[in-house]
Amino acid sequence: MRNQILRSASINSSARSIAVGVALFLAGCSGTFKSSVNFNPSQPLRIAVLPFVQVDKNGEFAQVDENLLIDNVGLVSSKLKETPAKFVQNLVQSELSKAALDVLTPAVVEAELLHRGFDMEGVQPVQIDFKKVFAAPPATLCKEVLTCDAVMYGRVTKWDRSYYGIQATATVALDIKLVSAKDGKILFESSADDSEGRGLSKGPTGYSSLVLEPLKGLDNEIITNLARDVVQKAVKPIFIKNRPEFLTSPPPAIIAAAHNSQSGTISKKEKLTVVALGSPGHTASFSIGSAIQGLPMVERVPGHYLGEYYPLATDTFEAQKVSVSLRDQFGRVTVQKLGKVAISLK
Amino acid sequence: MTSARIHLSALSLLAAIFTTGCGPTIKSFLQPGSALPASIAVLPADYSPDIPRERIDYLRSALISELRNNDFIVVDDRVLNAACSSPACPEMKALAEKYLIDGFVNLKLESLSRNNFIAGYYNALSGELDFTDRTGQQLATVKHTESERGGLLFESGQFIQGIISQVKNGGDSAFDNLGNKFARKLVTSLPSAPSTRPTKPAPEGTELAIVSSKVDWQSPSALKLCVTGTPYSFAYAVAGEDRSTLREVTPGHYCGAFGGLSMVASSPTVTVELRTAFGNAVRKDVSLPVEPLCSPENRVEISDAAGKTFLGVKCATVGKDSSSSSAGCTEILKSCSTQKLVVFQATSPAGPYKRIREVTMSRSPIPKVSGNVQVVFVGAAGLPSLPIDISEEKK
Repeated sequence: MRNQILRSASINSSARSIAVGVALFLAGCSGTFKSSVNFNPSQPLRIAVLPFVQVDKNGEFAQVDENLLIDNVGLVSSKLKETPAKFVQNLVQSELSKAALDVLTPAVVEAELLHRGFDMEGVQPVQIDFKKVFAAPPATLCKEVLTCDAVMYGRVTKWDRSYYGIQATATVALDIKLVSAKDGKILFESSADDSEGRGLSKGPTGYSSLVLEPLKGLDNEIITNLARDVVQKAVKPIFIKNRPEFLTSPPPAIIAAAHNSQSGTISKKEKLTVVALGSPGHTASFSIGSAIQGLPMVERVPGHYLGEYYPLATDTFEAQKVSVSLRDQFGRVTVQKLGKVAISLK
Repeated sequence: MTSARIHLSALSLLAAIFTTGCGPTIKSFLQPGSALPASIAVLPADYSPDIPRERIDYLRSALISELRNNDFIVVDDRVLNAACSSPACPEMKALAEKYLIDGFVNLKLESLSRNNFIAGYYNALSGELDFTDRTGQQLATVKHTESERGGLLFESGQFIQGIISQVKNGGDSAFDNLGNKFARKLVTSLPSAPSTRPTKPAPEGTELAIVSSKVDWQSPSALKLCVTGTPYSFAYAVAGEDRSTLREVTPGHYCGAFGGLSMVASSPTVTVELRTAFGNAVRKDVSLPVEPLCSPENRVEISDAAGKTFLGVKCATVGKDSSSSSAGCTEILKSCSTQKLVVFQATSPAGPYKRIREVTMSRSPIPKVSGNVQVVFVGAAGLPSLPIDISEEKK
């Protein structure tokens, strides 16, 4: 019996050691991610994502063809159709749809930059001059070239695929910076660096895999998947769902809300008054369906909000529900649709 | 029977796994040398009962992001939601004329499968992207199945990688990655990319301007804010983080009316923003011509004489703390000087209060009223103050 217990303890201990070992090994593979957020990410800032650049070890702009010979071997890898900088920029632009930022259409940014003298002189077809763009103050870019509140700069600092015989490693690193056009303040900064290996580090299951897996590790798909992960982690701090403040304060609450139209019909000469009782100190607004949106409400006394809708002669809507929104400083919004009575404007 | 069914499904899964190595099927109906149009709309999602709505929404959003990343200018969804009566959008032609849309994209999702069998996983997403011109004539179609496989079975040469990929497949991010790749493959496989470079004319739909703006009082308590600019755009009054819609009353003329008090409380200035259906915008700051609100709360002086009550506002605060500062009092007197006060009475302090008198404020007396009485001062701008209790016991 004692032996059985000892054996069982020994197995448990070995399993624990392996688990700790695997955990440490995996932890060792995790990248470096640093970020600082100096603005309220729920603020709907209008931003322009400027063309990303790739830089070398000295921080100089580099235009390196990152496609390897192996990219021509169909079964192993395929060529990346764009530059790493453009690929990463596209990933960042896609990920930004999860943030509250209002991102300018990339084609408009590019066209405006080219139209306003940020092109390389005498080069056909026209190309953006990255040096000119990076040298221009954000205020100039936002006020004279684009209509925006902030500009985002991106630099790809590493895009490497290395082969060491029994191990291949793909590395991606980037820096992102969001700068206010108003005062030049850095609103958000993020640096990310991560790598992904194939071969010895990922537990080859035989001699053949020890040889073949590092070659497969050079596949462009591995580095592009890694870039996807790196970009996700780099941009994540400004996703509105990730605000740490969410955990320490309650979200805004609407206790009651009402409007003064009992019949559901208002004439064009009368106003609609909407009142709400909720948690104090927030920003309130109300909407009538999709036609009239975001009418401001004023907090007359703490927690009591009042708003009014005055119809215009041309306004028209039928059976629209009124909804009240209460937003806190972190951008969390509580919405309440009012009652059973839908409003029509006659 | 059951065994045969298992064999059949296993075979079909294997067949699917092996056929997915193939790339997308592309059909182009473009004339030689011509490009796809740059300004496009992505038709509303047609929700299939087999695929969850949130997945379809995610894929549509990923497709729009990819189209934008590839230099297409995609029209705002609000335009489609307002104009299209069904996902097929029979109103396409009118929409194209009004918003200068040159092409339409339709995403048809055929199937989504996620198979997780402990030792491995296989996820696949199939669909088709249709590109038509403004008349509905087909320009290109791309049909593609994006798949992902992993786990110990498919990473047979890398034991640890097999475990990692199996664990990563557990969450929602696995679908998101598959969806992003699917959208990217569809868009990058389109026969030719549009060009928005200056060598070709910029899309007319993105030109935008605010010509003028005007703000005045629509009624004693409502501000009317109007702006003139590019027709068929979206116009907003932006105060802080509030974004209120302005309505297009005639083409290119946008207005909104707001409770003056709410608007003033939000911000002394308002930014007017005009935005095209393609997302570019222009802005202009507008100052609100609002008089200060009459808010004499603790500066109300009440006196009784000859059976009548006199009310007034004075600079020294009235009541227990009569020594407090009178800063800003001149403005208060000015804002409260020319208008009226309204007297309300109720049988209990909780109300309901009934309007019983309305008098001018130049020390006009009001008949002595007993019980629960509150007055509201209406200032120079026509804005009412908070009710002030002047009941007997409060004097």
